[in-house]
Amino acid sequence: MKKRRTKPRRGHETRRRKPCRFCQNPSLEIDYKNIELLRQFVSERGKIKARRVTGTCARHQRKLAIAIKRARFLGLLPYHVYVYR
Amino acid sequence: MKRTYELVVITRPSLETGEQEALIEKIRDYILSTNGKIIAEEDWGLRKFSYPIKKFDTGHYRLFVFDGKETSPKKIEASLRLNENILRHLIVHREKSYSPSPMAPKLEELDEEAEN
Repeated sequence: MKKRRTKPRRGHETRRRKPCRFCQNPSLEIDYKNIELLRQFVSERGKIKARRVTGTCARHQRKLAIAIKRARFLGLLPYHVYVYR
Repeated sequence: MKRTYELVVITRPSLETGEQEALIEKIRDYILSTNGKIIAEEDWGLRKFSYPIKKFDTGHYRLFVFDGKETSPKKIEASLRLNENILRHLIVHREKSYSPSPMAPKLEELDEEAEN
């Protein structure tokens, strides 16, 4: 008979969710003008990073996405970046 | 009802200083003509775009924060759209009171470009 696993598989341990940066620090304002901040939530290719990557909560992720899109419209952030191999 | 709005205008990089000033004055008039009140203005200077806009690589950025009615943005936008020297504009409703934005003219970037 197969032995039932009692512990999670190696590398599959439940990982603690990263706290949302904006909930942690309410003074940190999500704004399309703050491109230094927005850059941290955009990949090298210019894509918006997923919530599971950055730990942002749903509410702030929505605001972030809007801010990034506004910044893109104004040419402050790229829509896409080509990565040459 | 009175609301606070933000307007960002990107103007052609090729304008002379005089022309630029005249254009800014015109935009101020657009806002004032809708019984708006300008609260703040910021000059972000000449900035490099992340991608070409209307075949230009750079543009002058200007921010206006103003109070207006909810019909004002539409009226202002109608005037802005007619002006060819305005490459792009954005009007958004501002929830919080005005505080200076983290934007400063990125002079170093332009210097680097001039060297290349």
